[in-house]
Amino acid sequence: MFLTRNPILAKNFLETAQDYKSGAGVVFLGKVRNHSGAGSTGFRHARENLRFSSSQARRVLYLEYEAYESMAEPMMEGLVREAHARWPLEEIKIAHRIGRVNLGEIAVAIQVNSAHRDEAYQASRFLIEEIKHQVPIWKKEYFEDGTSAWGSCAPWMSVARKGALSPC
Amino acid sequence: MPIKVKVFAILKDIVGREEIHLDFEEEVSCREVLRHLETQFEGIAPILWHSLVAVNGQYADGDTVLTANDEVAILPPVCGG
Repeated sequence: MFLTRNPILAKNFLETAQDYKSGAGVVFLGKVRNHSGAGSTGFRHARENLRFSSSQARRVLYLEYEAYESMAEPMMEGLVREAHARWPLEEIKIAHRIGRVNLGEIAVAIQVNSAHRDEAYQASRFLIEEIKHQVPIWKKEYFEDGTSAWGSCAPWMSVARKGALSPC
Repeated sequence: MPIKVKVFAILKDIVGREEIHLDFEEEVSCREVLRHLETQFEGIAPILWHSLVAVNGQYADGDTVLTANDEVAILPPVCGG
């Protein structure tokens, strides 16, 4: 299980007991920050109706993550398998929050252990990018001004080949 | 032919619920299901046509023909992490 409704604790991703084969451990922690990414685009669901908009650097109160769990879990398993196939890795551990996640809390954690640092860094980067762009998980930002907006990191560019639809 | 449609994130907000149960008299493709939804929910089109579709947990394309009781998930652009 990669998805969890419980807080993710950093210490659980730092322990390397009994792993003497790994000379490198890369831990990525994605945390909830207090402002929306300036320049990022989002689908806004606010009083002015539904449309694309650029989200300003607004103050964020908290996030809510939603997932298509029965698809997201096997996809993340597949990403772990793919990372192991591409790099010589000892261990991969991933957790992703769903539900409400407050400021400063960890939304996603990825631990990659390997004999040498290069493959650990590469695999860690691969995993977070794939999770952000491929796995059916969505993030809604709740702002101080009472509005909220669904984040849109990935306009499905990387998976367009898998069948983004067109009306005709 | 009953079809269960699951919607997520902004699509869920537009539709007002997580699941839509449809019943078609004849075989339909994923694209036809989306066209049907387009007529049912005002303002859904821009998001709908930027979404991917999965049938029973696997990405599918617009031409995929559905069978009874399939679960069609409509996935707007994702933003995990």
